Amino acid sequence: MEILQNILTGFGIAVTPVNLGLCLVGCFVGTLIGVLPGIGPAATIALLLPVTFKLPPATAIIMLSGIFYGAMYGGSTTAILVNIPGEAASAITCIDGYQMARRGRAGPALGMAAFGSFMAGTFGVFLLMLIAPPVAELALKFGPPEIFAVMVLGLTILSYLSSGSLIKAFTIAIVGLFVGMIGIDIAGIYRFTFGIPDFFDGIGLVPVLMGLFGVAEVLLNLEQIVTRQVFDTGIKGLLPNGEDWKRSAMPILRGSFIGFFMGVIPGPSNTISSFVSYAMEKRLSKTPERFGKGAIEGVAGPESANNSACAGNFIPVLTLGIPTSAVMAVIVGALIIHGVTPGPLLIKNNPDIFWGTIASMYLGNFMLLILNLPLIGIWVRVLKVPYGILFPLILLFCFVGAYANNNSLAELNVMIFFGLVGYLMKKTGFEPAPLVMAYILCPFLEEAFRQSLIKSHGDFSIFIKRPISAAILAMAAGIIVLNVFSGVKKRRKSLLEKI
Amino acid sequence: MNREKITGIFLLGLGLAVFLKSLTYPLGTLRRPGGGLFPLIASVLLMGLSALLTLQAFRGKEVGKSSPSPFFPEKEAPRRVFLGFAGLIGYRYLLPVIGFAPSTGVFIFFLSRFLGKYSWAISIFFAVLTAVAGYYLFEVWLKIPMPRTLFGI
Amino acid sequence: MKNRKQRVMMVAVWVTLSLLLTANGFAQEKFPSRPVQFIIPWAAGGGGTVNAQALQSHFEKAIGGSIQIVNKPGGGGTIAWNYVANAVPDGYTVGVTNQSFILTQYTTRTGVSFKKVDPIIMVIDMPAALAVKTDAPWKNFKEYISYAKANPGKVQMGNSGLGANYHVSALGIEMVTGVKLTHVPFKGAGPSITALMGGHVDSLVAELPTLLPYVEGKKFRLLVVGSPERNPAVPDVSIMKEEGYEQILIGAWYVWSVPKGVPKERFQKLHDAFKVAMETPEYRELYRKLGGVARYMGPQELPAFYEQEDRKLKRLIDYSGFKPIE
Repeated sequence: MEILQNILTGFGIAVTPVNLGLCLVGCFVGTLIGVLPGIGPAATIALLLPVTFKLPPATAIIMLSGIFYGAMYGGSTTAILVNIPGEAASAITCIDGYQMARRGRAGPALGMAAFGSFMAGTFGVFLLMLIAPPVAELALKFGPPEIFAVMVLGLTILSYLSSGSLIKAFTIAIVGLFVGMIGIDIAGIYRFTFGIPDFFDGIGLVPVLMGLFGVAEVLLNLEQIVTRQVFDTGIKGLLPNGEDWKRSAMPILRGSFIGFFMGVIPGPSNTISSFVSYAMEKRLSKTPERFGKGAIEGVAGPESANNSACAGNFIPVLTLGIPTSAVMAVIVGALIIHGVTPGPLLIKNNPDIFWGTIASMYLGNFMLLILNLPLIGIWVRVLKVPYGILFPLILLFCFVGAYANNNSLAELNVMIFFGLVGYLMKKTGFEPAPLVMAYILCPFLEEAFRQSLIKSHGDFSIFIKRPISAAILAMAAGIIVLNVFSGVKKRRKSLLEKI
Repeated sequence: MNREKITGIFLLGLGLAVFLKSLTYPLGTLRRPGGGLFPLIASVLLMGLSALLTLQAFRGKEVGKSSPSPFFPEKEAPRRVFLGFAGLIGYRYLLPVIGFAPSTGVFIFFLSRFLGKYSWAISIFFAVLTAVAGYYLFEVWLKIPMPRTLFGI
Repeated sequence: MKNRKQRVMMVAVWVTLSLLLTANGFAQEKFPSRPVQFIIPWAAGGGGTVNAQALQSHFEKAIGGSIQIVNKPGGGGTIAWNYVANAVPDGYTVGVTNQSFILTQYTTRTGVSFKKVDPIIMVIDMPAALAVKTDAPWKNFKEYISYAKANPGKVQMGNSGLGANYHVSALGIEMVTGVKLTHVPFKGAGPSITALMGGHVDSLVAELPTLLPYVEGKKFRLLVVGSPERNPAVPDVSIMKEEGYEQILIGAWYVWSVPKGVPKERFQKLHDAFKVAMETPEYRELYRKLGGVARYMGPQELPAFYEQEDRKLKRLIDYSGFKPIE
């Protein structure tokens, strides 16, 4: 089989000492920056690019991809330990992961995140190897109306993210939309910017994340005497137990599929895939009330999805040379600088890069698993540090992360502001996740909406006339209807019980 | 006036504010939708939902699970939260004045001493350690360009 | 009382320590004695970053120092350009400008007048080109224009953002040929290319380097290139002049500039280092493959060049009726 031969060649390239070593370096650096909030893979890859100039292109890409993968692993670590998502895609992991940590189950959470990510990542690369070109063609069919439909689907799924009131979830999601509308729109108008130049391109995601998740949580914890422990340190085992595995098996499998296919769609697809997975697991679970209080499925599913999505991300880049996110754009830039022109001919002209990268992805996933498992013991010990020492450091990292994002002091103000907002939200029964998700979706949602209308010359039926978007919108409608029904059923039940 | 009512009214006000502001942006036509259209739709939705929330609050129902009353579980709590918040603001505005390392030192010292209730010696030690380590980690090793101070450093 | 004295001592020690750590910036005898910042107005990975990285190693060697590539995206580039124009003119802040620099004077309220910076050197010129899919019914520019003339508003032209280079180029096509197109905006060139590949728009104007891989991959066909002569990377594609129209397509040139008032000696050092870097075979080879022309222009001719581009772009802005709104 030709593919077998190709992948063997790929491994041949990947398993040289230099490439292996640099893959490890990349994974390690990636994990580090994934753990350090705010300093993202895109910036790091761009920073380290000059280091790779003397290296052959395949080696360079192998190392840089390692950074990307590593960041995904690292991002879940901070989400679980201190409720700060290292990546937007790890924001969902905060919900149940952090709760598990507070209950002394940080080890199993981290372990399941690592295992799930490994299995899903490997599975994703496997699919990538087999069906990359046809999947890429499928992805091309997603024009503005289809993207709009996907975003609408994402928003309707928000209802499953929160364990609290549905109305509050949708309300805070709309507030999230507002935050997303700040800045320049596609027609060139500046909205809600109050004349501050740093806001012209919108408010950065990183300061919002740092504030809403990190700072808010710290402020909340400050209410108690700081010398008290925030984390239950009766460590109940370092690794997931049999019960955990039983619960997580299917979520991992489902997450792998969801992540991979969504990862091909342009836009914030890794993030969306993580919360589609969460919503799906919650819906399919026989005990949905456990979600939000430390259900391991709420970690296994989303983490698998967002790692598998990374493999999906590479498809448009490797088969068509089109980046679907900022990180991918930097990788494309890296290819160009190394004299490789990414495009439809990459597979033909530079098979060593294509197959070498794929092979190194397998290896990278494996390396990251090996790297991260022993670290779990260390991380768990970090939680034992008195909170009085921990929280200033957490805040410091938030500051550096928020500033380093765009070298902007104004974004620090944003972070502090959202810290306050997040704190107030927690006190009044609103959850941060829907706000963040809506904020992330908003630009894509609106842009796709307006582009579709321009294309159709103002005709709304464009969304229904095209098969893919119609199907997705129908799904979204179905979810809303289902929700309303079960809400009505619940109310009827409680009414009956009152009688 | 409980928490729920205040929240509902606040959100209603927010929706109204965005609604009015979005009217000042070009709404455009359906053929060429302008910048104001989307915020308009969203603000209408928000006003509707928050009206619902406020209504339920006035009817005395608690919507979903909100935090247990009272607002602050401990007596010392408001002071501590306020201190933490003040520390954040102080750090932010100190940064462009005396640079990263010194500001970090002051910040960590402030938090350790007044919130962590550590002794002066420990707090200073912790502050200096973090400032120096932070400097080397972020400015020297990771080469993150930190804000330039008044001295152009 | 002993505690108080100890406290004061420790604070003094700490203050001295910190000052020492940050004092390295005070002594500035040799230029450059700390990293020169290359300010890129767009996100990492794009053409500006690639250019900076292409110049980096040879520039550093030539100038005897290091550089720090800083991405300051936002506001269509105006955040970075404002930063550069208002920076301390000590030669440590250099920014890259292109046509958007001039365009944003008119399309935004935060644009910077090109008179506020001193251009050092032009390092590259990348022409724009009009692309359609290979299975499109139009084999050349004439067919495209005649179809568009017969069907006003039917042909969908993607661009990388309203008011950006390529939208303005498309408006230029309308202006000189008299056709009416439907302009579908995207956030950046990448998404617009995806849209063309998926058939969601009919045509696209973008930078030649960005389009080349798809031409070679037989996915796109170029109908016309916007440069004064035929481009060596695509020698069989005609240019606007040959089609009988003036050269109105806006591509991308990169001119590195500094805030006004940099001391002459440092300015010269920067210029020479840039010149050395852009004349290396690696740089030329990189861009030759990409379809860019490593065209040099120096500080004597650049101010007039800025003026010339300004006139050209202003004409197009007036035609389009673009007005900044806040």
